[in-house]
Amino acid sequence: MFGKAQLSSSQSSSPNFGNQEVHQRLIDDREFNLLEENNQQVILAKGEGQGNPITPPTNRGLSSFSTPPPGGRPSQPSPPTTGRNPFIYRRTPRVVDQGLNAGANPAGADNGGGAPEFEENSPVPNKEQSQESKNYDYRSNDPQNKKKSKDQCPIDQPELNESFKSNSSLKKVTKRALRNQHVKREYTRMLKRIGEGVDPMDIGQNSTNLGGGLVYVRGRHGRYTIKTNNGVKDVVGIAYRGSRNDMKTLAKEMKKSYNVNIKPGGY
Amino acid sequence: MKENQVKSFYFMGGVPTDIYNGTVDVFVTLEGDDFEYWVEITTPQALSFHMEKNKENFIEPGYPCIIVHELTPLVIREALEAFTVDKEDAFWLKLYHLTVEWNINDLNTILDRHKKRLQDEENED
Repeated sequence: MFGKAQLSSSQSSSPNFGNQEVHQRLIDDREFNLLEENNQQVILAKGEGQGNPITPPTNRGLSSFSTPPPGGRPSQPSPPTTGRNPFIYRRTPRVVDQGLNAGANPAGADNGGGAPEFEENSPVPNKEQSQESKNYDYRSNDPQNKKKSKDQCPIDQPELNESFKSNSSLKKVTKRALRNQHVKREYTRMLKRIGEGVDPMDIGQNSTNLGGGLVYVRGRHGRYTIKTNNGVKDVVGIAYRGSRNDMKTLAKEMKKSYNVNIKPGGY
Repeated sequence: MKENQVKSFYFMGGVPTDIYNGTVDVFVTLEGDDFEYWVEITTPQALSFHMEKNKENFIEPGYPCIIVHELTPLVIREALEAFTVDKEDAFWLKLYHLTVEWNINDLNTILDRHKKRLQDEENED
């Protein structure tokens, strides 16, 4: 660790590090602001890990990349996937430490730069680095990355609509049903289960398949009709089971809107 | 003896697709009573299936339901007739229907009344 620190300080005199220092400062300023805004704990960890008081941003870069975890790696200004860090190279993007180590090598290649040994001699084992990346993953604080990850990784959860909200005929019925706290809680739990990908037929006790993608879910307190269309779940109706009139209204609306008879003839 | 006999009933939530393994919601009308009582009717196989599917050793607490061997109109009517015995003023049907309306305050009120009656009986002795 000390050896690394010495190297860091000597790097500033190397001609190879003239440019790097400028880059480093830019990155560190940005990173410092980012950290300061988003994660105070990280800054503290950094200071502790270095064993030195927190230095101004211009000095933090070199000393930080050379230190072992947990302080060694926090100066990761941006995730590797953004491509904003010119010093990221060679290693898998998940190990964000590589960016820091690479930062010591402005040549951008393993052996082509002025100080490739920084990376090769890094005392931080890969396993440990991965662990660190879990603990100090700044990427999660970067709004840009949040947006990006959302775009890039579509959520697996099935889409869920609540078209009963826009159904004027069922407005009173559903409003009355959800006024009942039992129904409300039950409905919330049901939504959660649907969000987890549970088939509506598996929700409640012996739900009935009405055909046409419609399922009549028997909750303990409420009755729900859910329509599945191309994987999209749509709650089309809710009624409190204790209300005869509301159940009838629900049946009428299902017949009218979906041509499904949930109230067949009497016996 | 015609009072409280089952006049008619109909399913709510569609007809059962499997008469041995299913559950239906039923609205019942009694003779001389226009009110529609709601009961849930299921089969033993459906209860068993539910426990197996959810890997449960028991059925979670819930409102009582009428259990029949098969979900045919004939059997359902037979069961409903048993739940609407005239001399009991359709006690069981009304009980099954009303539990959904009860809350813990209602139960505690009845429980207090019950405790008081027991206490009075003890005092009498």
